[in-house]
Amino acid sequence: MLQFEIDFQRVDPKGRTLLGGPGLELLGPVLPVVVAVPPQFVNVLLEEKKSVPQPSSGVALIDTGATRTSIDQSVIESLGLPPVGKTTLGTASGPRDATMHAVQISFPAMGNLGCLLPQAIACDLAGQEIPGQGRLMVLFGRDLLKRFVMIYNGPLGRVSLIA
Amino acid sequence: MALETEIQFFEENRAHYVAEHSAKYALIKGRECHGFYDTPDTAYERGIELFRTEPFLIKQVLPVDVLDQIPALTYGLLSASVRD
Repeated sequence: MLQFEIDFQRVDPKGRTLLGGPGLELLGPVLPVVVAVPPQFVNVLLEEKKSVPQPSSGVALIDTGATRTSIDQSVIESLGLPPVGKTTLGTASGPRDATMHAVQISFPAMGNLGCLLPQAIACDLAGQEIPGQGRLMVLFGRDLLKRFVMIYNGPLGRVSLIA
Repeated sequence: MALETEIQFFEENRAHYVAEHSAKYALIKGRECHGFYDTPDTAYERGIELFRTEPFLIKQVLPVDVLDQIPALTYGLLSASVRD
């Protein structure tokens, strides 16, 4: 079993660093993430003597409201991943079609725990920065969350993920 | 839109796929179905073996599609969007 803590800290009046504070409430549960070409796709590229695109690193926001994980469109394009599905999403401007792509996703802070996501949604997250954390690249949905136990401890400013 | 042919083919055959392969994942390329799989992962692995780097469709066989919900997109909470 692998356990990972997403901690937010505060400094008390005596200058001590303690768990808690408003970070979790303000930023949400975020963690570093790497998105890469799936190993099966890598094998095909190597067999065809093509170069393998470099993985992209950024930040994932755990989104318990999302049925499926979304990846920034520019990352999908940089990895050269063809579509393997289509879905319709409700958006602020009405229903929109979106393509789905297979990606390999891993979490450096969890010992590089990784898995294949066979149908992640491509969406435009350009310009989304999580202050002090980095570029938002992944909305971590329930299709991925179903592989973990998650404990959200608001008073302590901590989210635990157990795989 | 990508996979238009494959999606149209699936819709033409949805009723009898549901009768015979309910909840499985169909692997479709062009106007041909290349089997039904228990998980999207196994459908993807077979799709890569057959079609290499070309697009193909993995579609769960259900009477009606389950809509994906991403409130951050629906309500514009993140200024995120889906490109045309």
